[in-house]
Amino acid sequence: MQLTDILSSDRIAVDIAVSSKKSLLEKAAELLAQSAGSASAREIFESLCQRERLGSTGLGHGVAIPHGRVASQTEVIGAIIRLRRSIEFDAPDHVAVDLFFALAVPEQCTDAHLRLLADIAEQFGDSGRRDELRQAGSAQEVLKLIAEQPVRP
Amino acid sequence: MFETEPATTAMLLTAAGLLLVLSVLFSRPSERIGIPVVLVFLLIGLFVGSRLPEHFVDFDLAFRLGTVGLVLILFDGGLNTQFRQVRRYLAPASILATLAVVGTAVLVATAAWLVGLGWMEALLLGAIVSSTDAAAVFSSLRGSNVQLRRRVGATLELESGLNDPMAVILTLTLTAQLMTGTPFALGAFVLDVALQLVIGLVVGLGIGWLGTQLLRRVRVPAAGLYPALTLALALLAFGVPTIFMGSGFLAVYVAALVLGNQRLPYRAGILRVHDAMAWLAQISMFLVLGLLAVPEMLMQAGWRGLLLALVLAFIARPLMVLLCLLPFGYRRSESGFIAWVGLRGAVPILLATYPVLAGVNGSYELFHLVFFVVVVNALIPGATIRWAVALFKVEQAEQQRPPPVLEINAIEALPVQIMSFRIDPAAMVSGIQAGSLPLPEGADILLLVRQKQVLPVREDTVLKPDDHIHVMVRPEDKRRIELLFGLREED
Repeated sequence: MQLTDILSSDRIAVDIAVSSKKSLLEKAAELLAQSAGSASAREIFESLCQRERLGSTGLGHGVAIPHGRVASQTEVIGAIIRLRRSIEFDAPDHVAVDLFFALAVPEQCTDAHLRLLADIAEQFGDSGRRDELRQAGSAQEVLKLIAEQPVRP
Repeated sequence: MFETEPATTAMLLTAAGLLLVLSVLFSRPSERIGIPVVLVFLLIGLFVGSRLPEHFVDFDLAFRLGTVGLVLILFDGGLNTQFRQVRRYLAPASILATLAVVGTAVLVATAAWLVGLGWMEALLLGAIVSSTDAAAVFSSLRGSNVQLRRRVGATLELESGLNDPMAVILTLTLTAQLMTGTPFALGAFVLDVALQLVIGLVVGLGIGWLGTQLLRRVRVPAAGLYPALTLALALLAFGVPTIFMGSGFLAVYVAALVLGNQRLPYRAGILRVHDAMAWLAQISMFLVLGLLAVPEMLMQAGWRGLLLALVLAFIARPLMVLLCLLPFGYRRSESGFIAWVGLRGAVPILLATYPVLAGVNGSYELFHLVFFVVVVNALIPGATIRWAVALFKVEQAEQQRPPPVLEINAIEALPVQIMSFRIDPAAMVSGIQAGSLPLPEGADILLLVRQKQVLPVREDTVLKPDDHIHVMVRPEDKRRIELLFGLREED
């Protein structure tokens, strides 16, 4: 499964504004719920919160991957949010976060889903990739960047 | 009646042993009702003291024991403070530890003066009760599965480590002034305080650094000698700067802060020993202080003690905290909570023995007034702390880390880290076969503890909720592992 398979440009929100961790998760849930086969925004929001309770999904360097296992989700769906102003996300390095890749995963998650998560972490872990994503002008550009996989060692 | 040794010592040790057992046994019930457990030790001391045929008045012993105790407590506090997590709060905590301490002392002193104390005695009282005890805050929260928002918890923790030196300096200086009768000169006083803090800070940093080098280089034949070495460092960190007119308590805290944030050999063992020492110190300090107090004199302190205690809890502390935190962008609920939980602990009662030793007039009454203020200021915030957490909404969204079932300790500093997790149904790895986990290179699951059984992890082992797993990982991959596995256990 590729990252582009789970994204679409209408689930990429660029330069929006939210005030807190909670409102960010609400916004993410809203985007994720737009897809066919998705659970309700409420349900997704709750699963995202549940995962955050275990420990922040912030990776450091201003990026985070909020994700949740959702009971009535039939397929895995992703969304990207880039904030105009970064917010406090309890990240391990205490840096405020502005780049988010949110995931809604079916309750019965598989190793393929897990690999997606690891892939996103890999992409976001690359400082060049982060810069590109921060500079991208539109949702389409972000999608294009994600589509061209970085060269793997 | 027991004039021959070893009978005297045997009696003493038996009594001490019984008191300790009693204190430890009572700690759990007090945790459940939310009374700071140290208060229970104090009450046990008070009760036993009032039953003794002859009243315990050894202020010398109490002072010495209290000083050692505070050294151990501050050292443990410093070792357990993760500097990277708290350094952003260094500025507000420092202001709270200096300006707010002085301000609180002056406000309480004003109230004490209004109820009839002399100005110097009033100031002395104010100084004595001016510092807080974060250990009391955290021990009141333990067991309720509540974790404070990081900024709030870190500020309280740092504040309480840094403000004891200030209260000590104020008290000692004021006592010296009272005894020598020199007129109070503000300029010289401020200079003196600053000098003590600077010397304490520098010596503390120095001993912390030297200690780290020593621990890393030296090879000792038994692991138990490492904590013996760190204990020695704690004593040195207090002794050396104090000889040179610096603040020993600040040096102890700073040295421990430096040591605790380095890779050390046998780190977990060292921390465990100091944790035990700090507990022992807490218990002994409060027991002895309880023994010293005379119930009748506490009754005499009565309304004045109560009034001063309430002034501290409802006026002095909140006012100073709110003022001092104003420039730092804390939310109103956050500074409100910090203002409310100014729990007082052992330090004020230890400090109150000092004027008694120095022979300050009326210091025995002062001791009992302080006793009263401390008990009230441990009881009110301590009993209401859970309610305050809910009211001010300062609970962290994240769950508290559960304790591990198995500890794997490195004797020497190693390039890999071992992290332990409890599998939660909300974590992505729950229900996944170990063999298909996308682990970074160099990372692997070492073993799994399932319902008190330690299992090897094979390719086809499926991770289930409530499993405890240990993962080895290179430090740079820690974040990714946390992302996959979720809930980390306590280190």
